[in-house]
Amino acid sequence: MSLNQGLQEQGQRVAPMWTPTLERVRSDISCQDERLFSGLVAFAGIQMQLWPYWRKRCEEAGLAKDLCEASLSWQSARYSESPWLCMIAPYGEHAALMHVQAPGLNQNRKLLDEIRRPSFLQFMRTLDEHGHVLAYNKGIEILFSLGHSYANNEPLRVPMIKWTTLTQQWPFWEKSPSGIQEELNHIIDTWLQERQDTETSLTAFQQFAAGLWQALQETSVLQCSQNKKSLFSFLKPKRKEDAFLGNLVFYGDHQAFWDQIKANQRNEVRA
Amino acid sequence: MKQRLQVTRRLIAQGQLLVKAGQKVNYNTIVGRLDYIPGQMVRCNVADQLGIAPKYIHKTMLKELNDWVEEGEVLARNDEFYTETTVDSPTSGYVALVSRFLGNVFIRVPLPVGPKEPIWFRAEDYKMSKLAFTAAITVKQGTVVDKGRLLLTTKPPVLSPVVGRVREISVTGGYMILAPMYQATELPAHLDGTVVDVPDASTLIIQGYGYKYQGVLGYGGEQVGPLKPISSQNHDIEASDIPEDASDSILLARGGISFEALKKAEDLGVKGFILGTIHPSILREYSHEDPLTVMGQRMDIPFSLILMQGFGSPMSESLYETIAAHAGMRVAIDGSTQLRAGVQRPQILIALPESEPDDYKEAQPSHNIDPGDTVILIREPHFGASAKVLSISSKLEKTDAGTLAAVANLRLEDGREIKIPIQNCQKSGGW
Repeated sequence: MSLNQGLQEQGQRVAPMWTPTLERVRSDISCQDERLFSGLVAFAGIQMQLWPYWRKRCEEAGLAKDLCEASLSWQSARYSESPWLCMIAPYGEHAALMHVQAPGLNQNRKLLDEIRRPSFLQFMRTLDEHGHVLAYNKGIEILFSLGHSYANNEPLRVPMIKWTTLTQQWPFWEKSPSGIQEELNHIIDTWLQERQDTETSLTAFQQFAAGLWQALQETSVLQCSQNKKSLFSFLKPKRKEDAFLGNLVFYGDHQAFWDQIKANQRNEVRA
Repeated sequence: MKQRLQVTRRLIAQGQLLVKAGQKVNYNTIVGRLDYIPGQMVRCNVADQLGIAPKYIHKTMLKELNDWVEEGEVLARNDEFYTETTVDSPTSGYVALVSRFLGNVFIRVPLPVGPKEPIWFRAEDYKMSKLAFTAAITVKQGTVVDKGRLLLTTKPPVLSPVVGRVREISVTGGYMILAPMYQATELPAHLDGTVVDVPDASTLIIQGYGYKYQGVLGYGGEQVGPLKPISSQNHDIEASDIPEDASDSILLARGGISFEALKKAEDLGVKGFILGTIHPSILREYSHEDPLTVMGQRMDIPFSLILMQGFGSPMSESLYETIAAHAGMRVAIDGSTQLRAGVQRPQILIALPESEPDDYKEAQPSHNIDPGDTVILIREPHFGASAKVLSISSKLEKTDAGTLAAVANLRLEDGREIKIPIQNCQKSGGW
């Protein structure tokens, strides 16, 4: 068994331990939308809580800084073979798009190029508070390649989250890794002992996150792929936008949100 | 008349001043040094590429203003939400401007500094006939070429090694001369004196004491050298009039100069000429530029020319005698001329080793034209003519153009008496 496979299996093993915490968060924030909750777990749970914790732990264990703080760039992500890919692209001050490629979600790495195009940037700037867009031809073309269609005026088909709402929910998300913290420490320590020289904390975390994500889906804690089939649904023409690609659009002053997160981290270090 | 001399030295781009206020300097003291000569600006839309609002651009910049950045080097980085987005510099250069309103970063590409000597391209160097050499030339005489521009379609092609101006293409001679446009990154003091003020990070004012004369038109830049009067005659000087030991000198002649004399002066390395006049066609033939439109430092000639009367009449005898009295002294000449807004005339400065007397009072410039003075007319229809002031009217009078102006009654050298606005007169032999 390779080290990578081992980390994926560790992720799958941790998933049931994390499930009660996630269920508690779901009820506390009263989130009924399955796909929104999946996006929130990917963003607020895995990307913004587990990953910084993983990095911090590696740093404390004395892993070299360049191996520890390796962040995923758009260039490297395109050629990455990692099973878990979570990229967040800000578009101006208010809109941001999170793009997740993971087990059960789209694995087409070319999409990363599409969402970095200037025409898509223009497109994202036209989003209003309800997620409605003024369709730019080029933007629509890119969306089409992302798997959406002209069928409606909400081509992203993903919920909009205002940062203010997310900020209100933040204490829950901050506590979300607490249930698996000890287990996480153990996994990281084992990995540090067995790691090869070229491995960074990021590549290890991606393996772990992929396993965790896969298990959460398999156990139906997260349901982010297709809409459930309704009666006579086989008669409906299959629509491209039904495929959830792992995109989540955020709306609100994300810069202020990120500055706040960074400030909290600095304060923690000082304390 | 001895007077206070003042020159303003200004760096044209990013650089450092090497002297401080109160410091004594010689004419050749290097008072400033340019870090680079500014070339074209390349725009890089950082905010758009990073997907941030322009006002946050400073948070992402990895380079400060005026920092050097290599092509392909990371210029700005955004790692929001642990996702790294970077912007690579599209070119090598200095960060010249970071706009927090447009979200752009402008990178100034420095121009390469060329040698002081002109660069020759000869047919024989490329083993070509003169005709084939001329046919292979892709640029015209007078063209300003960028570094790397194709000059000759030979095999392999010849590219311009510097930014320069094609000074001459000779079909019969089978050669081309390229004059580098930017040769120096050091700023000399130009005048013996003291640094009296440093108004900003790129400007300083040097003050000396001595003589100052103002010309009407000038060509070429700044030069310093010993003054050598060569002709008090009012006709054009010939090549034979230029002494063989005139190298590095400033030559003074009352009349004009011939084409051959200009060529000889170039060969000898003469620093400059103070002349009464020059025939425009001679200067046009020599410089390949139109002397009526290209003036001052814009004219690419190897020495400076100062015309005390403009085009037309020779220098007055009295003025020649006055300037010639400084024979052998070090003269700093500046051919800078601008006839439109912010009028600038060429000037001749002769700094003395003695310092300014304690009770020195500066004469009021330009308003001190008195009856009996000799003036040069600096506007049409008598442009360049010399005249004697007969009287100055104390009231505003109506001119031929119908405007009211303070006027002076003048007698031209041919005996005619005219009325001219005082603004159109310039006192001959200094202020």
